[in-house]
Amino acid sequence: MNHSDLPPELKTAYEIREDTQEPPEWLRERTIRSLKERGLLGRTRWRLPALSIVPIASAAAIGFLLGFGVTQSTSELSRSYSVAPTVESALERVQRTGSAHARALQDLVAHLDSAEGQVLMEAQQVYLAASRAQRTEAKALITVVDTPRNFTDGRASTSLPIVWF
Amino acid sequence: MDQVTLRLTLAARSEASFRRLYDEYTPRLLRFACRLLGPAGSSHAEDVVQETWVRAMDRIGTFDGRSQFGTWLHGVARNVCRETLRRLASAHQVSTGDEPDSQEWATDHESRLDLERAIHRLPEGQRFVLVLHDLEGYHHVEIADQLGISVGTSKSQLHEARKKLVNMLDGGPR
Repeated sequence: MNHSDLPPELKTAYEIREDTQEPPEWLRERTIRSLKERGLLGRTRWRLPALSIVPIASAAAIGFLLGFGVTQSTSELSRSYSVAPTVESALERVQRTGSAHARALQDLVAHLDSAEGQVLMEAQQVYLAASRAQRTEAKALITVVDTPRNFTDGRASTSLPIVWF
Repeated sequence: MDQVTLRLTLAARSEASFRRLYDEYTPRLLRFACRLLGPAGSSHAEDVVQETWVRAMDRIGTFDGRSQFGTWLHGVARNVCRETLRRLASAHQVSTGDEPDSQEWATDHESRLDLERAIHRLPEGQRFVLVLHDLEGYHHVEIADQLGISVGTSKSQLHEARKKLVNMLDGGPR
């Protein structure tokens, strides 16, 4: 809390105050019942998740295909520009981590409905780790591509049509 | 829970996922509602919490992920509290939180207000800023964003609110 500049009278009053009130159990059940009655919770509303998950899955698939395409086209460009092999390996790592990221996301979606908190937590951790790895590799690739010495003819890296996914 | 997982959870609308979400956010939500409603209205805090979740699940499409989910949820709760307070005020059950009149003030002065009651006697704008800043730990930038006011207004409202609180807790307005 932001109590550093509090008048002393209030500081004492805030400290005395106790926040021990816990939500009653019946409130959770009543809220869930109310949500179900309105069709806002439960399997009857799978129309919405389907709408939400399909674009995510599609985006993952498109991302994978883009990554694959970029790798292929950039490999050709690399050859034409005589780019150092590190660019290719960096691209491969981006593609690999990108695919892992997409798989982790699919797993996470699949486990959303799991009643076991531990299972969902693990799926979340895998997904977060995959996200981090993918971002790290993407940054590494940018660094490699942005390094002028990787281009024998001295062209700027911005001329490469690289798309991230 | 990270934002992507959270949005997927909400979109999936599965009961198991909702229970986890409910358990994570409701304790703070209930305290928040109690604080905004004040002692006279706190018996409605549970209803506010329920209505907040119903609205949140109904309007989850408007959650764009720019802010934290908890902040967004508090925004929904704040609106529900506001409506509840107005409904109660129109039914003459509780005060709207406008400036206390002198007659009422004298009575309260004699009985010495406790903190909750003192907070509830603040004008609505000042009360919301004080609760969000001093009791919920939000920063002025977040409060300004939530309430649709400037950061400067948030700071001055807090200053005024604290001054009035101190006066009330000391025994009367100066």
